[in-house]
Amino acid sequence: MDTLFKKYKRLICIALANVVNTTHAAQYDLFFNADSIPIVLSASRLPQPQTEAPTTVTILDRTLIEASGATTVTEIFRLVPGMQVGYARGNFPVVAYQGLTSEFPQGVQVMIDGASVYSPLFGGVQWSLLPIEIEDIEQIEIIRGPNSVSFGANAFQSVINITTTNSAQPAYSGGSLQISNDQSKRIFMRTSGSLNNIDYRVSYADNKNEGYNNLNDDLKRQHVSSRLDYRIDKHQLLQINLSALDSLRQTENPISALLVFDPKRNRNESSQFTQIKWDYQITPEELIKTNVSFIHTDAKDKYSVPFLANKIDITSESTRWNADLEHSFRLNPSNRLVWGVGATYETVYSPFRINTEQTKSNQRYRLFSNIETKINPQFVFNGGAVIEYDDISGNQFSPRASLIYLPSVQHAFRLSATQAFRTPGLTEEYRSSFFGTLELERSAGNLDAETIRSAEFGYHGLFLNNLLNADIRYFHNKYEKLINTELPEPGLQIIDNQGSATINGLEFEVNYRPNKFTIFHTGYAFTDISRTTSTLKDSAPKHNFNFLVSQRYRQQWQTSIAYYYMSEMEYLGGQNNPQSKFQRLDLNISKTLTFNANNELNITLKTQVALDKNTDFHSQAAADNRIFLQVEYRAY
Amino acid sequence: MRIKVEQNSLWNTILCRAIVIAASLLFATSSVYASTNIIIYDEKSAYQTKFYQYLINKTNHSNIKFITLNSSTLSKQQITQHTPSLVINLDKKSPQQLVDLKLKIPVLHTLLTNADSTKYLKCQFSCKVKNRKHHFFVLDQPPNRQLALIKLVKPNTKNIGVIYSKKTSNQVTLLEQTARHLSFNIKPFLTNSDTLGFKINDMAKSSDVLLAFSDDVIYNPTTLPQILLTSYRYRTPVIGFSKGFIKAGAVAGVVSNLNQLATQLSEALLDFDDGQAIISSGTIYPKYFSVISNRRVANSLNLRFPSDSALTTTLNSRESP
Repeated sequence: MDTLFKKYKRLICIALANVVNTTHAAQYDLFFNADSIPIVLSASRLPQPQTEAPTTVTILDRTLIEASGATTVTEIFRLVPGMQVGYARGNFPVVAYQGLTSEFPQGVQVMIDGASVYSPLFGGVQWSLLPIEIEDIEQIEIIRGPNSVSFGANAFQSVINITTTNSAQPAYSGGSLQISNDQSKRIFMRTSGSLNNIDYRVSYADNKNEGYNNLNDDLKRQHVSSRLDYRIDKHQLLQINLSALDSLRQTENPISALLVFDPKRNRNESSQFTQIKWDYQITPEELIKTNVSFIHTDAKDKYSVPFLANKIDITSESTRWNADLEHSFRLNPSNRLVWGVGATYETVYSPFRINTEQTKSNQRYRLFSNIETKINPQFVFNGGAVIEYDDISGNQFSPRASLIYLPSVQHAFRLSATQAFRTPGLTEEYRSSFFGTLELERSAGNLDAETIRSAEFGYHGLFLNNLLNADIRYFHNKYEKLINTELPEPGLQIIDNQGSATINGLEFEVNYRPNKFTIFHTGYAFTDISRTTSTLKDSAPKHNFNFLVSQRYRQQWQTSIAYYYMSEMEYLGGQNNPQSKFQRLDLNISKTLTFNANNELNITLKTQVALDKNTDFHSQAAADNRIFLQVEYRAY
Repeated sequence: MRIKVEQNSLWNTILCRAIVIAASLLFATSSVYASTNIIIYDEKSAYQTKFYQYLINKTNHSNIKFITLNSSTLSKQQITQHTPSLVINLDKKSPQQLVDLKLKIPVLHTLLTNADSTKYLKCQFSCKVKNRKHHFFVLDQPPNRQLALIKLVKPNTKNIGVIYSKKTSNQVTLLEQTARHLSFNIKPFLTNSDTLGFKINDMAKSSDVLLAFSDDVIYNPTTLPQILLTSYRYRTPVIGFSKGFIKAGAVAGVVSNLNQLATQLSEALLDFDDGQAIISSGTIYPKYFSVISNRRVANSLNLRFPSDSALTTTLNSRESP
């Protein structure tokens, strides 16, 4: 026994000595073996400097997101000029850009760590099924304007690019509880850690939301998500994201005459999301990125109504597989090239919308390339194109060109033009819906892709030792072949490409961080829709304004004030047109207490003052004052 | 006559003896000037071998001779049998052994970090200049040089965050003293591997810049991703201490490569060979250096500063008398 113990002790000593030596050797590797150190802040993690970007970009980083006091992911987008956030119901948020939208905004492409979560069912994103929690977001980059060249079809009006927090940081475990005056409750828990070269994080969130006071729009939602980062070697990084979400979304038609056909019930909606991402950083200038993702959503909703023998089945199911490969490298000191290929396969099962029990599918393939040429220190040219084939609308071509003039490194003027497209979704192409024997909607068939021709002139400037940045742009967008998916009046609705519109607008954004404790952010958008039908004309607010000031204090106190304004507008298919102007004042205060050297407790009080008590999609959806109390514990 | 002959013979004898003594003395002196130095290094280590080669190349036109000893088989007899003028140690594992041997000749330790030399130089940075035997040519850059770089890279910097362990606490004191003259405020965060994640977060939230010390408790390939990602989250640029660190994601740093370090050591050897004693308080900082930056990270943080060569020239000109 004693010998065994000695042997064991010796083995431990040898193992410990090895650990010490490894750390010691590793330290000297930092000095003398530069090639053995992986590039942590690689090109894929660093956004392009805004002065050199060919498009207009809003960057919402973790600090700004925390300072805003946003209680849900969608609320963050109120900080983006021109972006409109609304609620079709309290449990069904809507994020759109520059209008032309119903409760399913189809012009906004949403990516999570490079994987699209665009729904093949309605187009756009069903935000209540988004496979991510606000705590797991590291940064959101919003490209304001079309960008099919980089993101393919459906990057039609805007692209929301969400980057999740690397599981290597911050390595903490903990949880939070949030309660509010409207009986809503949210529990969030996270654990994280590492094993050799693998860092992982697992999060769980449980939401109970009461929605609007006068609507049956409760939501119960459970979500488990995880991210795993495996550093294969100094060049290769593997990332795996997994998410499973289950929800009960209460629904009921708020118009009493229609209540009999659309009664109060719970829709059981769920989604599963998987993503495998492999980055191969060959040199600091050359990167190969591959991404395979899968998202499946399904909604069970079957109910009986009087006078109809059969149950109404609004059950739907969709699947989307996506694979992308992107290679970026420097051709020479003046030219950088990105090229890539991608493929998408999507299926939809929706008997109510396409009047068949069959599952419909669509395939898409794309090839894209973009070159950045530094003509001289003052001029940068960006040119690119994407060719995409789609089973429904055939071949599409989207080019883009931009010229940036940099009179100095702090100031950039950009001129850009592009043509982009949105391919019709499966439920648009095969639309055929009935209520009993009454036909409600029918697709004209062989739908074309919606197109946009966009031109913009912008300026981005850095001031006060680069602590203040300002961006202003004027744009002219011409939309053609828009697909009408909403019922403007009773009777059979034919889905076709008859819509068109022209949008001119002006947007600005200012960010100022004079020090590490103060944040100032503001944005404004003027949007004018013309040359279109009356319903589309008012589908975006003319004026959209946001303002945020946040201050951190020495004793770990933090306060912030945010003000959001949106002038009146009309969502397509809204039952409360026009939606009155929206004004809200958010006041947040938080205090962090530190104990035991690496544990902290954060207590936050968030208030949302509805200044106009405006009503949203439905006349019963009246905004109300909200107070949230959140307690969060973190153990590092 | 006979007396005269005897006197001549005596003079001849004295002269002969004098010539013999002079010749012996001359020989003896010349053998001292063609000094023999012992180099201790680990042949298996690529960087030590490379450094040794640089040193040989830089001193091959001088009278300096090197005898190499493997650090794994080190004894006092092995060293003293060659009656060396100096011992040069390149191996991080050998300083303690050499200190214990209590040699009467100077010992120059090189390719060591400040943190590692602390173990053998307890009074580090406050040692008095005496007839010191052990001298440490460290890899770390002097604080004034690092602070000057910060001023050039991010001119509006006020608060400089420093994460350190007990190993590097001496360096914080010295940094604070230097920073006071340059109107910087040093925010030190004492940590260990258990509390690192928390302290990084804390530091990055409140500091304008993170200045990294070469401290293996804090900075090693395992912790580097966490440090760089968290600093970047709060837009806090990191000043690194090596090429690998900067390539990984630090915004810039002052570094000395093996060639530069070998140049400095060879100059010290040549001076010693010329009869100049090696006088230091124990720690000798790199004399030759370059600035390296990571432009991709700098651009992403909206930092605009002159080219690496221009920064190196500026720092050099500020240090020249």
